[in-house]
Amino acid sequence: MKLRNRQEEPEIPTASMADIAFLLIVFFMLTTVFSVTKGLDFALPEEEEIPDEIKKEESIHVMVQASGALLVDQKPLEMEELLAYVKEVLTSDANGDGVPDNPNKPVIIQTDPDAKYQYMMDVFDELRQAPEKIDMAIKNIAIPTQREIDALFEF
Amino acid sequence: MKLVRTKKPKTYIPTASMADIAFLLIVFFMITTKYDVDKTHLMLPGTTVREQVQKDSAIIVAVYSKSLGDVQIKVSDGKEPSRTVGSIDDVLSFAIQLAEQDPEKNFIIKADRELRYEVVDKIFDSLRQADVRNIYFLSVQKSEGA
Repeated sequence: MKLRNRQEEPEIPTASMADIAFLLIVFFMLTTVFSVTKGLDFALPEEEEIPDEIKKEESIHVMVQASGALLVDQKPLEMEELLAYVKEVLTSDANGDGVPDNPNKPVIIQTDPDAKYQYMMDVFDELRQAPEKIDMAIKNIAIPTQREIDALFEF
Repeated sequence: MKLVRTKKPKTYIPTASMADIAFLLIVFFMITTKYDVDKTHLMLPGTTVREQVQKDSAIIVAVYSKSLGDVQIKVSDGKEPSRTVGSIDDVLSFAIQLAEQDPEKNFIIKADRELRYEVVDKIFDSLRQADVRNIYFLSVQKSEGA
C-alpha cells in the first residue's frame, strides 16, 4: 500500500493586494494638495538703518491710485515706464562729477486704501524685477502703512 | 492530405511588476503629501518674482466672505490649523504673542487679490507694530501677458 503524504503548501493569497494598492494611490492622489509656498518677501531693516525721517525730495514716491493708475513723483506714468524713470532718478548726476548723487534713494509705495491689493503687488513686483529689467537693484523699497504716512509725511 | 493547423500564439500581459509600481507610487505620494495649515480658497495676487517661504511660518489669511458679508480674518502659527479671529485688531495681539516667543518668526500674508488694500494695510500695520521683521506676501506665478 503506497501512502503519499500530501503536504499542503502554505499560500498567502495576494490577489487583492493590487486592488488595495490602487485604492491607496487614489486616496493619496485626491488628498495631495500642491500648496502655494512662494511669495514676495519684505524684510524690515535693522533698527540702526532706519532713518528718522525721509524727506520728500530724498525719495521716489509711487502713488497707486484706486483705479490702479500710477502717479510717480506727482507725474502719471504707465507701469512699463516705471523702472525706466526709477533708473533715471537713481543714476542722475546733477553736479556732473560722474558719480550718481543718490543711488540709494528709497522708492516709497503708497497705495490708495480703495485700490485692489493686486495693484500694490504689481508695483512691488515690478520694482523687484529691476535687476533683470534695468540691470540695477533698487536697494530700498518702502511700503509705509497709512498710520505711518499720517504720522510722518505731509503731502 | 494532412492540414497543418497553425498554432495561434497566446497573448499574455505580465502583471508581476504591477504591484511593485503601485507601491512605489504609494510611497511617493505618502512622502510628498503635505497637510496645509490653511486651506482657504482664494485668488492670490500674481507676481513674477517669488521666493520660497520658510517652513512653519505664521499665516494671516484675509478673504472676503459672501456669507458673512465682510472680510474674514484667519490666523495660524504655522503648526496648527488656522482659526478665525474676530477682527483685524486681534491680529496685533496674535503677532505680538508670536514675536515675543520668536523674534525671527516669519509671517505670511495670504490675501485675496481683489481685496481692498485697506484691509491688507491694517494687517501689515499690525505686524509692523508687533516688530515682525520678515513678512511674505503670498502669491502665484504671474502668467505672461497677465
